[in-house]
Amino acid sequence: MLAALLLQVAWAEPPVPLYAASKPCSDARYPLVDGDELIACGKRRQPTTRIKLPGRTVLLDQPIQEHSSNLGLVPPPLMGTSVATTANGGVAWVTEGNKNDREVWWRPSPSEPARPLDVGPGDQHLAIAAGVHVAWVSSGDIKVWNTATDQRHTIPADTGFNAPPSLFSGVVCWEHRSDVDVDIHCSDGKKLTRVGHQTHPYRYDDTLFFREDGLLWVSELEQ
Amino acid sequence: MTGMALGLVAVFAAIGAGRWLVVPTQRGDEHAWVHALMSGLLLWGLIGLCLGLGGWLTPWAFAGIAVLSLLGWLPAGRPSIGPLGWAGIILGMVLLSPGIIDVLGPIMGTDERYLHVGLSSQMLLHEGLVGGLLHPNGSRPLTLQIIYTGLLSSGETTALAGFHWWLAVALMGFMVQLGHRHFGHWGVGVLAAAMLAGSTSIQEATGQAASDIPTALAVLCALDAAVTGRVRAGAIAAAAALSIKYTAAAPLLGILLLAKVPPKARARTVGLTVLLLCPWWLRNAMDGLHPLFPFAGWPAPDMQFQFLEKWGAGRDLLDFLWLPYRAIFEASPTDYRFHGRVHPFILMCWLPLPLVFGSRRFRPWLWASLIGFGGWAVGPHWLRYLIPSLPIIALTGAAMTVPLMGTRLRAGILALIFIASTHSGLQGFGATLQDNFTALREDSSPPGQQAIEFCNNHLPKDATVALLFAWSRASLQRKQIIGSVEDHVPTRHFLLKNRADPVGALVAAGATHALVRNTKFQRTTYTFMERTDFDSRFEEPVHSLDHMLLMNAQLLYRGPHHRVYKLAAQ
Repeated sequence: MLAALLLQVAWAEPPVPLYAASKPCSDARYPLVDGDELIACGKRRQPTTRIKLPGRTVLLDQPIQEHSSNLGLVPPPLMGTSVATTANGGVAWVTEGNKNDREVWWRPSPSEPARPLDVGPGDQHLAIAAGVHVAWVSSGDIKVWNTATDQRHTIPADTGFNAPPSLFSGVVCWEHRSDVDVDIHCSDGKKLTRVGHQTHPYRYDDTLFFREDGLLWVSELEQ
Repeated sequence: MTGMALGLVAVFAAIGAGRWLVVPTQRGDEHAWVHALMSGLLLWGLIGLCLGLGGWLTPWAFAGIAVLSLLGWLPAGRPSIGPLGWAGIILGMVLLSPGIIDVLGPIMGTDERYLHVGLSSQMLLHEGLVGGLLHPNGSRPLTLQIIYTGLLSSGETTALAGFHWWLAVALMGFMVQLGHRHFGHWGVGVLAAAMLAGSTSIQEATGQAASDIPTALAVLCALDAAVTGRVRAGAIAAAAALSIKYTAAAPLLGILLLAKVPPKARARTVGLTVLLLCPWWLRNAMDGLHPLFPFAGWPAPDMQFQFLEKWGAGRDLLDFLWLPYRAIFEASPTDYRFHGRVHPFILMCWLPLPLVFGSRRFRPWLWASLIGFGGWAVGPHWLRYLIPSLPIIALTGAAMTVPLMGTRLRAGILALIFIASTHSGLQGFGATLQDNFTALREDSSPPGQQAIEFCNNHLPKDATVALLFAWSRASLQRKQIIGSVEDHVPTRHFLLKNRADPVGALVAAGATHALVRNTKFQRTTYTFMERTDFDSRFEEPVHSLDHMLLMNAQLLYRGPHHRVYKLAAQ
């Protein structure tokens, strides 16, 4: 934690709104970063706008083919949650726990049985995946698991109250409540602190996308 | 069809209960069944008030009341309906049959969801009355909602709308009877009933659990009682009408002022009506609220029940003069100017007015119609608020017109005009009927149902949900607070009153979770208001709530229309 504070690097320039990806969406999961694309909503409030990263080439009105979330997972995913799929075919998902809380389950491949990944006290939720990494929130902290090396670590965060964290190459960014508003912190020590609420972080390499005041904003890291 | 059957049983039970309140010498009268019905509804409401205050609104209590009420049919001297009444009832069943599709379908109406079914389900969950600033909709007189609670306790949700549909049929039957009784021709009631059935506003209302048609029936009873000089029946009907919906006040005022009743009888009627209503006012006073809360507005920070400026066809003198024409020919059920449609013949058949203006027989009918219309004109101009006066207006018009049908030729011409204009009166109803068919076939749900489903499936059974800017009370199977009325006053009032820490105040009020509807007030709807007023009264509460939830609550579910938050550590 101390190292992270000492290594804190400022964002190079003030963030700017990305109007092309700021149209209101009827599906609150959008806009989002999916792999090397930013997917946003079009005129009909549906996710139709793809923005190729990192160059931010805008490809308009391309219908989004959403993958079926019905993967036959047992126990079933909790209503309103997304299934997190890793590059090596594993899936992590959130289910309803036994004590009015939530649990995270894991299935390494479609041919293997599902098993609990993090259950019991802690209200585990907001599971995400990127590459071979899986992350989720447990008791406000973020747990990161490298499914290839089986290495795990926990990031003290006090988050999980609104949007999911973001994961890119093992680096996690999350929403952080300060005394007056919500900011964004990242596990590599980067922070975005400014007036107003910055929510829904999406990290892509040295770029941070986030939402503020109904718009999608982008901030570049200092090289 | 269980709901329809239960509704019919409830109507018979109400008549059975109410017959004891009808003056013994009048019980054999062919019109006494409707007066008994009104007495039964009022009696049930007052019994429900007592049970509710004691926390005894249980399914067993309701079942017991229903069984005892049905005993009213056993002894000799039970109510008789008479051949003309039965004919009117059968006519009503035929004319209002499209409403059955809505009865059998899912609960889709806004008023059903937030008030009639929504409030009833809360009273059933609490096994008692709900009211006060946290349940403002429960602080009205609840005669009808208590009966709906009893019907809901049967476990058959469609019983509420089924009961309402039978009340609409009863209204038709009673109109046919009254046309003959007061104007000497069965055709008067038939024409008036046909005009009502040829109105989209009536057809759309019949299949829902609602309050306008029961109010209309009670108002018509009051007029019948006033014209025949029956004090007790008049007071009971007036109290029933007002305790179902205060919009009955205007036609009742017309009846009170212009019916040919001795001053002493008039005073006794008013006194008895007030006596029968005052338990509801006392209840509010005991809660520290205005007796007429929520209609009298909210206490500090002061907020009014509704902005009349938002609705209707204008408020200048010329607007009021044009109102009868516009309300008939410019109304549409799909916009919010009149929000409905009534049969044009209702206006046309008032053209012979000069012929009957001096008639003593017409006097109470004319003035009840005119003052009823005037009271409606003062309000938001929505045509469903005219329904309490509409049967009287239609009967009066029909009574002026039927004598003009002396020859076959004239009758034929008028019939042709009536039939041709029925298409206009039912404008928009075809689409509604199709929607009702689709809803019934697909069991479709109103928007926001995913969030309700989440709450019903995943929130603890003992959770209390604060409904913020949200209407969907009926299908949420958890205890609730706040909810909504027009302009979301309850939510805005709570947030402005507790602006320092609204989330903490919600928790202190007992809420464990919040269901929040995504809300944006349109400035264009409130152009009569200063920008700063609009910002502070409408926009600030929305932004402040979003801010405080982000800082102090945990988002559990986010759908396209609603969000669900956990407010306190469970």
